[in-house]
This record gives sequence, C-alpha cells and structure tokens, in this order.
Amino acid sequence: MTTGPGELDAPDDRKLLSAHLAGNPEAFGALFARHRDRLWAVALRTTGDPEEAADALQDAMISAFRRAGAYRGDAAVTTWLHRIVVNACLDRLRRRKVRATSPLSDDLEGDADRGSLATGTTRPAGTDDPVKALLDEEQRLVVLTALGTLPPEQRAALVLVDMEGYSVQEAAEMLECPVGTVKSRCSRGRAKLLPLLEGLDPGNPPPAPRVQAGDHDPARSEEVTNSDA
Amino acid sequence: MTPEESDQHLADDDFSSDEPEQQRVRRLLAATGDPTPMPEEVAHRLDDVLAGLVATPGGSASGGHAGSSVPDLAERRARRWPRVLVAAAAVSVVGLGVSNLLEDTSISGSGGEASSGDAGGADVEAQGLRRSPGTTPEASRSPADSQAEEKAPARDRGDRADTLPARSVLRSESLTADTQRVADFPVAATAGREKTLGRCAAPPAEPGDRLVDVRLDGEAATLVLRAAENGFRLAEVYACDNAASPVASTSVLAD
Repeated sequence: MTTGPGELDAPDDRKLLSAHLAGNPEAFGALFARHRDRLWAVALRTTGDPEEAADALQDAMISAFRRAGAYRGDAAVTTWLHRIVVNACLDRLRRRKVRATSPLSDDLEGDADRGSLATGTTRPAGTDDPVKALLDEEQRLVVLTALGTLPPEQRAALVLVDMEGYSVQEAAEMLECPVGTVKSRCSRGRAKLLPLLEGLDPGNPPPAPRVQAGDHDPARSEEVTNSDA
Repeated sequence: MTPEESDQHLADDDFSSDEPEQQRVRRLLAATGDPTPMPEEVAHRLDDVLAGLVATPGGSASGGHAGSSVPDLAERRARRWPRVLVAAAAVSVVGLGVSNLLEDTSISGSGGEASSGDAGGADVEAQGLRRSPGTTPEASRSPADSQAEEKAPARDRGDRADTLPARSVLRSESLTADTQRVADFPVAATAGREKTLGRCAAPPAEPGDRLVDVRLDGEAATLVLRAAENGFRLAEVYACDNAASPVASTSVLAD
C-alpha cells in the first residue's frame, strides 16, 4: 500500500476519497495507508486478538472501498473509517460472543500468551532495565486481559477514548451514539476494570488526547476539539 | 427514563471521569495504548486484497468519472441477481433428476471449462435473460425463476449443511486457512456431490466466481470465491438468510 506519485503525496483525506470515486486506482490505498496503523490499533485492542483484528480490518477496508460513495462528508474521513472499523470489530465480537461456550479464563498466565499476541507488537524499547520491562509487560497483559472481559461496546469506547486518545465527541461519532452514551460506557467499563486492576501501578497521569480525527487538512484540524473524556 | 437518559444520568452523576478511581483506570489504559504499527504480514495481506479490489472490474471506481460512486453490494446484487437466480433454477431442476450431483458451482465466463452450474449461467446469458438496468429483480422474474424458487426449497428440505464434508466447515478464528482449504479443493473432483443455492439466498456472483455451501461457525452459509485476480481470490461468506452483504471476508491464494 503505497502513496501514489505526484498529486497523491499530500492531498487531504477528502481529496483522496474523491479521487478514488473518480477512478484513481491509487487513491484509496494512499488514504488507507495513511491511517492504517491507527485503525489497526483500534481493531487489535477492540477485538483483543490479532487474527480477528486482521479479519475485521479487512472487512472494513473492503466495505470502505466499495461504499465510499456513501460518505456524506459530515464527519472527518478518518472518523468515517474508524466507524467502519469499529463496526466490523463489534460485528465480529458479537458473533464470537454468540458462539462462545466458555468464559474468558481466569488463568492470567494462560491468558498472558494471548495477551502477548493481542498486543501484536513487542514492547517498545523504552527502558534498559529488563526487570522493569518485564513488569511493564506483565502489567500490560493484565490490563489487556481485563479489557477483554468487558462487553464489546464498553471495550470499544475505552479503546477509543482512553487508549487511543480520541475525544468523547469523536468517539461518539465513530460509535454512532450520543456523547452521553460514550461517557457512560467508559464510566461503566472503568468501574468494571477497577477491581481487576487492583495493585497495578498507574504510573503517570493520563496524557491529553493525542489523536485528532482531522482529515490531514490544516484548515479542518482547527475544527476538531478534544472535549473532556 | 429511557436508556439514553439513563446513560446520560450515569455519565454525569455516578461515575465522573474526574473521580480518582476513574482516573487511575484511565492512566492504566493510556499506558497500555502504545503505538501499535500494523504487522507486515497483515499489511501485505491488506495490500493484496486491495489490489484485488482495484483490479476487479466494477469493484472500484477505476475508469469511472467524477461524481460516480463505487458500486456497492446492493448494486452488484441487483446486477447479478437474474443470472444467479436462473443459474440456481437450472441446477435445481437438474438436481431433481440427479440428486447429490454437485457440491459447488462455478459461474463461468465466456471462456473456460463449464460445470453444470456454468452451463446454467451460460444459458441465461445466451437467452438474453439479463435484466435491463432500472428494473427490479421482482419485475424481471421469469417463469423459470418462480418455478425454480418453488422447487428449490422442496429439494433442500433437509439441512444440507449438516451433511457437508469437513472441508466445508469454516471458523471465524481460522477463516483464511479454512477458506484456502476449500479453494484448493479441485472443482472437478467435487462433481457427484451436492449442489448449493437451493436453500440459501443467492449472493451476488459474476462469471468466474465459485459458490460453495459451507458452515461458518456452525451456521449454514454460502462461500463466494471471487474470480482470481493477480493470484488471489477474494472470498466472501454470506449468511443463508442474507445475500445482501457478507458476514465475513478474506482473501486466499488462487490456483
């Protein structure tokens, strides 16, 4: 997935989408490549499983590719893409829930393997202290495992707001629900996580929302506000 | 109090994100939300699928004009419905006389080898039964369509998916591998087995597509293996009762 030559190097998302609709075969790839890491992170953390995340992302990509004409322009393109990805993830989670016959394991050691997969990556080399790195990774696995116990809608809200740093307003647009619903899902989810995360070191205060769902268009980025989560 | 009002009430009053407990969980989640680049293998897989989409005639906006939109599944369904329906009818009639003859259907194009299902599709095109643009599937139904639709359920009263061979069982958690297994199974070798399309709603299909009866996570479904493009086949799984949009999709290597 490469950014196309020439005019595809720097246009905003809307222009790329328009170019795709106009028949430019490289435009959608450039658009998707621009956001794919964020979309992957959301899919991975929402599904909790890399295989499921990959399948959901593929479903979403196909859907977005084919239904680009349905984009109405009332939200940022990246919000629209996130909405499609989250919906694909939730669809998969609901289907998985229906067919699931056993609850999530209480065995964190066993789940640690799954959690390791769920991260999809190795821990960034942020410390030279192997003991601290190990503790950090264990804590990470505990958090991810706990997250996996939440209902899909609560999980998706927490992934978008608390993990990916989107504002509640942006998350509401992505999840296609009222702001109050996102807040309540986050609150309920956090309340459920609290007893599961007893004893973990929360470390530093949560950072300010670090993601802005703009369209890579400076003129539009000023419209995006990061409301309180 | 409506659910939304309840949510708002809860959000505003009961669990404020300013509470220390909420802040603590937020910090733990934020610390876990490190940047997560997409793995190379996933990126390559999506690249391949995207290449297939771009290369698929009618599957992209390529060659379109400004203001045109990508044909969505509903459009594709409308475009393909008559051929698929009558192909189903043709094979269903064959199935009445020669039960359990086919397992899956390849909808042939103008060239290439033709299975029984192919013949059905080819016949339709030869007879000019393709629906004209703007007409609805109902409006374009031929007597053969209606007859086939009446007969097909009778033929498939039994739960044909329960009798599917193990290779036709798909699981979401291993969808790509399972689909590859189905795709790898030679079409010619499946002759003499059961036919599809009689019981499930017919998904959109075009010449070169292959339709296979499957079970996805235990539910009867239809697998559509799209015509090979650049060495890959886009695979879509449709629930038995909904041919409008796939419930799962992946891509597999073509032969």
